[in-house]
Amino acid sequence: MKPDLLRASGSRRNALATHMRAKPDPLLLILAPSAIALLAISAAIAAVLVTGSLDTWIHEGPGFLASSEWSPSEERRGTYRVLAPLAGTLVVAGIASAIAAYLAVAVAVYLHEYAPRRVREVVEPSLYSIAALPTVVFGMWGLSTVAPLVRQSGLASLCARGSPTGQSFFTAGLVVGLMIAPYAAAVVSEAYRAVPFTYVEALYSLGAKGFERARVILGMVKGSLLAAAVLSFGRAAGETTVVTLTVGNAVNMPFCLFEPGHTVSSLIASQFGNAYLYPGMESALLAAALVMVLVSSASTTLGLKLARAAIKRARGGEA
Amino acid sequence: MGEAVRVKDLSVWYGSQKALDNVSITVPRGSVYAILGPSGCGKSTLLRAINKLVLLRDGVRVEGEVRVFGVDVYRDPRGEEVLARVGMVFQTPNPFPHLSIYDNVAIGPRLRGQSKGRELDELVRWALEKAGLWEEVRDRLRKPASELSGGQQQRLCIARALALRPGLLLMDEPTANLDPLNAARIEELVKELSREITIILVTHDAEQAQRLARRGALLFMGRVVEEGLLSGILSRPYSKVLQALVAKCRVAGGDGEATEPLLP
Amino acid sequence: MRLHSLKRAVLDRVFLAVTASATLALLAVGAFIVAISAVESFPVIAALGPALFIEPPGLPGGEFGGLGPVLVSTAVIVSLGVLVGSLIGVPVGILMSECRGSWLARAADAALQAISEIPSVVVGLVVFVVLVLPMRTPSAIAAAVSLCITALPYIAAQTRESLAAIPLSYREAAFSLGLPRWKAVLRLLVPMNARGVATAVLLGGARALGETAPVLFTAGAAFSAFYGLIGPSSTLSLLIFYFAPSPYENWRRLAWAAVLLLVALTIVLSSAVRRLSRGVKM
Repeated sequence: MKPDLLRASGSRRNALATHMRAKPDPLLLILAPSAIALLAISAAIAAVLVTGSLDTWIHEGPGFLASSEWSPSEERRGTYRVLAPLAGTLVVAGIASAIAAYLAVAVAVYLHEYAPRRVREVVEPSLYSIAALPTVVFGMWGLSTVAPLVRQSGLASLCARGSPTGQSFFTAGLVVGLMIAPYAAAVVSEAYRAVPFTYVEALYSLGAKGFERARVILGMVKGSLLAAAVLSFGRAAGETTVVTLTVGNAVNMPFCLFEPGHTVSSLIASQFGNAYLYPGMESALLAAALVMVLVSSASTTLGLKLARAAIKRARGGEA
Repeated sequence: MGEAVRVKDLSVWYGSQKALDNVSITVPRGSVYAILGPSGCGKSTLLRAINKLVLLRDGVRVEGEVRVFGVDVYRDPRGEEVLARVGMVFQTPNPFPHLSIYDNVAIGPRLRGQSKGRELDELVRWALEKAGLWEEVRDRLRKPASELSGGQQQRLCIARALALRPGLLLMDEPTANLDPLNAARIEELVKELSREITIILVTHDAEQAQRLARRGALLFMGRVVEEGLLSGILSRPYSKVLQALVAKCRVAGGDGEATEPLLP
Repeated sequence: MRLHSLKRAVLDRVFLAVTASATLALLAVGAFIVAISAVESFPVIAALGPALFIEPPGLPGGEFGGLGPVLVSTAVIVSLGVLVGSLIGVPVGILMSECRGSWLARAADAALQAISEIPSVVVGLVVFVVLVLPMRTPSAIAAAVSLCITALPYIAAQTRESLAAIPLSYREAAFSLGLPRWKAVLRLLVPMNARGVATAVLLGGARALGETAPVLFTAGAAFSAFYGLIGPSSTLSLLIFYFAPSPYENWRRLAWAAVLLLVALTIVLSSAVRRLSRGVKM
């Protein structure tokens, strides 16, 4: 018995030693299939987007992004160019991220400098709950409440082809901005919270009032303000449900904000279901999707990087 | 009146935990006053109770009276005015890292709209000179404060507080995070400043207290154990004093009023 | 100087007013959505009562009808999607936390990051091309696959975070028993963190339930019955998307009822997630 036990513990020690030498880890082998499935999924997404859109890149070339002619045809290959929806995406996302960033800063300053503790304890979880609401809920609200308000406001008369329904670039940007504001507020708040307490004390000891403290502390975490704006932009650029319900769905350049229009995502949402009827349209929509993925991912990646840097900087108290 | 600060029957609770228990001290004008004690005994709380920073903590409750230059800062509407002339220096150097050296010193006067332009330049220079930093930074006033070394940053914080032209300076272990050389410089500075300004110095270093202050208080578990001349308080070695306190507290069963760690 | 301090006091009040009203505006949007969905769907709920959960939607312009078949399809699609998503996501989360240095973990991390950054409508496009076109019909399966892909990053990230939050002392205890590492991780650490895994799965469920864009082309729009796994199907959020702009009042009211239900479910799920994840710290 005894020698056996000894050998067992010896081999265990060996197992540990081999692990130290980073030989194939059984744990890694057990978990590998899931990871490989994940890699396969992401590879499939990339492959579908690239191969599916190849036809369009060959046919249209750079003109795909440089003009906004959208003429479907059932008989032959139509012309599908997406300058207008692409510009629409940028405009809607721009409006949304401006609104979200403004509200985010205001909310963060209110919660950290002005709100009594008890108010903060109620408001913060409520904002989390609002941030968790499904987008289609905001879409329905935008369609039924915000769009009619925009129509009644008469702002549409500022534009040549002002929207008769209230659905417009502006409406979509506004609703999306309000929807993602709690998320943006969380980004700013987190950085605000990361500023060491001793700076807050220093500001009080200098007699600074709420807005003066906010100015100094926001100055310390200004990276996070940019991060909130950029992250909001990335989210808004990919947002589909709300935009499709509120943007008005017309191929139209966003020269005037109160006209109906399209974003890339709303174009896909409204056209893709029937795209197989029109030669070339499916490929064009996949190409547009690829462009949208690039815009949205690039800004999300950048935003996350900025947010992390801002928090790190705030924690370290170093510039 | 000869006293700068008079604290009477002050008790502070954090939630249900009592951090200060019936504390009374008297700080005479124009001197350095030391608050001594092991960590967690309530030194910092007492200091922050004087300029009301203690109210920033969650769930805090303050009872008793704090008079600064004769004004009851918790009840008298003139309290804010008086506290505007109270500066504070913290344990960790905390200049605002994104502001320039100049802006860090100027922030107090600017907030109060007290001085502008030339006058402000003069004030900043005066404060930096007083803090013994002027010669080192005079040609890089526009550089960010984060470029300075730790010791320089702490002197910058002193300059920031001096720019308020304070009658009272609160210092919370200002040398705790500095190397001995820089700590010695700060001590020199404290000595010089004390000729014009009343300074309350929180420290856990009995030797430092004896080097800088004549009077002080010894805090233990939220209570003032002794107050008066340091020569009297520290007639026995400090470590012996603390040992005796800890032993006494064990005999008393620790009566559970302060749950902070006791060890120095 | 008097004037200056007056100016500061006024500015301070102005800032308080501005920032407080911004906060209030955001809260008001949330409160308004809950209120209006309750008001607008009241006639439906009053007319149907519990039958709301059983009957199919009415004909356009006719009776209200209920959400019965949609609820069945939603339950099937979401649970299937989350099940598959967890089977992939939980092990990937474990991998990223426990084999941090390995190339596979790093590749998985990058892939996850990429998938989470892709707008969810694109996931729907891809599944359409890969599954719906060959099957010649949108289906519950295709919808479940889409939702699985959208929920995956949340499940994996939450699993990883919860494992990383296990205190070092517990971790050391698990590894000090002389078990091989894979056993220590899978038999001790992961069960120790069952709450964290449950949170991850719930979080994935909350995301999957709320998403509309991924199922837009993959589920179909079959609201009046459940046609099995490979038949056309629908979800609650899809019903809102289709019925919201419709000109028929009965459908719009039904959509509001669906909004109310979805809001209630989301709030329950997300607060459960929050409560559970608070416990993870131990």
